[in-house]
Amino acid sequence: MKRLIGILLLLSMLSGCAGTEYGAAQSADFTIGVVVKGMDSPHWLDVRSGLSDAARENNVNVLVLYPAKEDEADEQAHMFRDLVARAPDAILFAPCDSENCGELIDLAASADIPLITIDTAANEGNLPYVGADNLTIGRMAATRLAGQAKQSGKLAVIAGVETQSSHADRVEGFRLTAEGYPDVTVAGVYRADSDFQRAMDCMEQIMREHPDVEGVFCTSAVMALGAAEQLRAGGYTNKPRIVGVDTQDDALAALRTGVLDGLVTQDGYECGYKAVGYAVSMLRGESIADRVYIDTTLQTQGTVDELIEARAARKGGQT
Amino acid sequence: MKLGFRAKVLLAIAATTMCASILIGVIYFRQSQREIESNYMQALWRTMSVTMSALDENVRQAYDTAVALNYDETLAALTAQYDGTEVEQGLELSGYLRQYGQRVDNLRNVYLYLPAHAQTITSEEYHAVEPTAAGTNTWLTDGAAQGGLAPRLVYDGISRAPVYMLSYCSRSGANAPVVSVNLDERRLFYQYLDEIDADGTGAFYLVDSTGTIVSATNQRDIGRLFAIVSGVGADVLSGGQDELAVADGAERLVAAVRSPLTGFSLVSVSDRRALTASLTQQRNFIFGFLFLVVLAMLVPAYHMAGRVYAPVRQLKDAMQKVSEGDLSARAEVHSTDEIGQLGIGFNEMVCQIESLIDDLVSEQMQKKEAELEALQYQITPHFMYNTLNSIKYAAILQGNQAVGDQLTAFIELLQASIRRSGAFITVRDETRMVQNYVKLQQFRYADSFTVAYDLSPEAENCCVPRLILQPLVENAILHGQKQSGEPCRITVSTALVTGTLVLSVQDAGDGMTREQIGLLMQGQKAGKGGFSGIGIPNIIERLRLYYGDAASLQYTSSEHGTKAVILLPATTDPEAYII
Repeated sequence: MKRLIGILLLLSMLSGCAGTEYGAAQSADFTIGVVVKGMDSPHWLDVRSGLSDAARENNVNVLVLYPAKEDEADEQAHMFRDLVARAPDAILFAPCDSENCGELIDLAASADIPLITIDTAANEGNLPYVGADNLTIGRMAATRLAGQAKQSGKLAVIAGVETQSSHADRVEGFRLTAEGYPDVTVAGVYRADSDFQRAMDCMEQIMREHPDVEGVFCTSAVMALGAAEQLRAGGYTNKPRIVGVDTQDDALAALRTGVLDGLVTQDGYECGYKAVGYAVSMLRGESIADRVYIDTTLQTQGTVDELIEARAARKGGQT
Repeated sequence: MKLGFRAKVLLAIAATTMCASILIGVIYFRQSQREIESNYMQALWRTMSVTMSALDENVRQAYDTAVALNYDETLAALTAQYDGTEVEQGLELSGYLRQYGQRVDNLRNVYLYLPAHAQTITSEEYHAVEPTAAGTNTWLTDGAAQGGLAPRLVYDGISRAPVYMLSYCSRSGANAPVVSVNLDERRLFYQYLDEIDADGTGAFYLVDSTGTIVSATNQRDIGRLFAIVSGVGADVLSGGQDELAVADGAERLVAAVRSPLTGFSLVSVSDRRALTASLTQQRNFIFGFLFLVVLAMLVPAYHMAGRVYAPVRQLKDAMQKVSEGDLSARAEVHSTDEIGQLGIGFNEMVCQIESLIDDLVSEQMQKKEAELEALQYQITPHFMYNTLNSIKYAAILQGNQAVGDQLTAFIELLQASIRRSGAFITVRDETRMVQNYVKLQQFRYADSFTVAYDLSPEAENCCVPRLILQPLVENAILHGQKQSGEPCRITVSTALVTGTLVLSVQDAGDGMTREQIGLLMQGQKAGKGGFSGIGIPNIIERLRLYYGDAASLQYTSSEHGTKAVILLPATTDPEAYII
């Protein structure tokens, strides 16, 4: 009889086990702060998409801040300081001003927060970098345009914010490579600050000053599209070839239809994705390289279809 | 309370069924309860996550706007221009703020606090410029000093109707203008918190990183500290002035989603019982139904128990019959299970008992027969008869009639006593023997006694065991002497009284004491003296043997004499009582 009571008690105890957790805030391993240059272009949307996918896979929280426009360095600095006050485990930083971010670097260092640059390098601090090799990008563009410039040999550059190392490096890479072609000259570098409208203005200026220009290198896709729009709307007889940078759906479509001559792709998604992976590896104490370059390729009208399909398969056609 | 076998079986069946069902029901109920809670909490958590994301976006808009305004060159120019008195400029500033604020959902207003002019420019149309003395609305300057990614909960004292707001203040130096972008707490509540749970079974709170409640259904809770008090079974909702404590565990389910941007937590508190109310109802219904079903099932269970019980009952009945003496009773055996085996064993046992008793009885009978045989005469009667007859005739020829008479009596006695070898003879024959015996004894003990006969004619044909009366008469002759020496008078009587034969021998002697009677009745059964050697104990035993308790021999005695009475059932059938 006693055994019977004992067994019954045991059963009721088992069934009465309470106190389970119900999906309460699943605690992430780390919180990574990200301050990028803006969110107004598909490139940055891709970057953010890569960031959040990688965050989910690695079980980390990602907090993304950005100013309204790529040239708003003050706003970015303000946000950077607020982020440091929040004390994340690491910060991914794409500086609006690569030359003057020393103060921010010091701030992060004094708060013991590891700092990693993404997409755009900083000129000082010797920080780890995840992004495209911008010199190579410039070189690829120069090779493409210079190789096809048979008549006047004039090339122009429409560049983004000068103080951002990504744009600066692309211009530099372009220049250096162009110098290797004796028949080719770089007519000028025009600043459009990664803005569509300003790129149109720059293009208009170029056509005015150098109507026989054969190729224009735009250091971002937004500016390339702006320049192309100006060409279309301006009704010019001589239409130079335009090579842009960045992988975004509207630029790829333009390449497909021949509006752009070439596009040096850097996959924003891959950049964001690898950056988070890099940060997580660093936080977990694994050994990592100083620099992680993402793939860059020159896409032309002939090769673009394949790329479009691959992107569609990966993301379901989303930007 | 004494329960029959059948009732016990029924009770066992009912109890087992009820226990099993209740146990299953309880466990299943708990499982379902936990399942429901888990599903509910997961769904709730997903909804809360989505809501929190949307809320986050909204708050981010305010933050971005606050930061943008902080570096806006147009605003800086307008502010520098403004001297504090020009209404037009004030309105222009107000308009600019309003335009900027349009990009923020659920905005209450945008403030531009100008400490230099002790004024606040608001984005509202009707209260564009509010005088704000230094020291009032310190939240503006405090917020400016702090900055940060999370908005602060403030109670606005600037606008005419005070409300709660979530405010981002742009950082600025001392005495510099402060821009504040403020979200309307109530509108945030209605858009985000209120929409989550349509059922109304839960309460939702937005709690900041310090544990202060920033938004809640009941506005009175805003500003209080939110603390979860763990305690199984406790249901404490203590409301001190500053604290709102909710007990976790048995009564309530608490879930929280945290935002990395603001550090705010969206907390839901659900009443566990309300969740499973319908399940509890179902459980109660099922238990009630279960009870009724078990009661209904008692009927077939009763019949089943009866069928199991039937062979047991038969066995019991057979046993009862056997204990009452009927050794022919047997149990019916229909199955080969344990009850059947019991029945078979029982039957065998009774068979054995029956045969054992038969053996015993025949053994006893044989012994008695042997005893009786032993009491027969050893000498062949024919020889004695012839010898005595020749002696008698010799005496008569010599003229001795007395001796002849004696011998005649003796010969008759012998004939009578040896002629019938059966155990039973008629009363007539027995009394004839007694008379012959008396004649002989009177010859021997001349005139020492007289015998009178009171013989009933109806009793003559009754059958009695042989030599039942003679020993009594012998005893009376031997022991009935009077001390005075006078002749003893002996009376022998037979009577038939309502089926009972009464034989009595009475003497008028001195009587016997009780001890003497006792000695007589317990003395030797067979002795060497006397006529037959049969003693009183032998008579008693034979009466018992043949008649059981229906016959008896009794002695009564006083100083006037002794009387011996034999009572036995009257029958004219000599075989009636033969063993």
